[in-house]
Amino acid sequence: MERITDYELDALFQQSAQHHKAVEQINRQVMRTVRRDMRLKTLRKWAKLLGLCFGLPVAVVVYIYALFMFMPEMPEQLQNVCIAIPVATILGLAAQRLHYFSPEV
Amino acid sequence: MNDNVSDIELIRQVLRENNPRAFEILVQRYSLQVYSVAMRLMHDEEDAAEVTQMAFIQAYKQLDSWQGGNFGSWVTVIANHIGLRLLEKEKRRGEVRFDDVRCTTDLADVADETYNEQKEQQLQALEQAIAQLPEQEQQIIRWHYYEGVPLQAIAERLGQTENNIKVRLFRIRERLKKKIEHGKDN
Repeated sequence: MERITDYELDALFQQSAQHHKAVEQINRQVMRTVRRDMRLKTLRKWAKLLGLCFGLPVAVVVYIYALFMFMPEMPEQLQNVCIAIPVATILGLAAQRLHYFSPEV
Repeated sequence: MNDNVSDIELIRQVLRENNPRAFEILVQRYSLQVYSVAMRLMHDEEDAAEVTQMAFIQAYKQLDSWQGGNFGSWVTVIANHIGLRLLEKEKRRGEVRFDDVRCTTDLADVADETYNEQKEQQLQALEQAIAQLPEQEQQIIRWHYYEGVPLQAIAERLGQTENNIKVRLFRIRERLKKKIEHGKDN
């Protein structure tokens, strides 16, 4: 059996301490990246919510206003297309939501 | 937060509550294990640190695809993939460079100059042996060898005499030596 000397054990402790320091540095760097990513995720979530609360109603109002302004001058087929576009968009978005829906959060 | 929480619970907290502290505990729990594996693969401290870092960040980004099991093993597998990819890239780059000067040196040989496989194994055996010690003895080792706290200060912190701590440290060292030797024989 090969014996470990005190000198070798001290060298191992020294190297182990170096490893621990390196690992601490790694942990800090990883957590910096993760925290930044989490902050971005939260920001994106709020931006989406704001967009949904304010951006979507504004877009709908502008669209309806434009329809009422220009629809009387449009041919009937184009009028149908103009009405079909938002309906198709809403149905498409709903289908997409259902497709990706998961009961797990 | 309690550090004894299970991996699965911590991962749930990261995914549901976006809780950075939960992920930090996971990183602290497994980074040394992943770093040791990366070190054995890369044979270089800087590369091993880079691989470990990349592995944890990738694990965080793919956390929702985690299938259960041991989180540490999962990150280790990711680190292995990243490490092998990096080595492959290095090798390809190295081959071009070495071909230019008609040199056939293998990159692993170059790396081995700064890396000692046996030392690394002993180091892992030491880490494992320390982890098996009672909590107070682990604390004595951490204070004295990792934080450089003098024996007298340790004695004061634990309410014991300096001689008592010296004796305890001597016994701990003897036990650690035996465990490392035993690990070496296996």
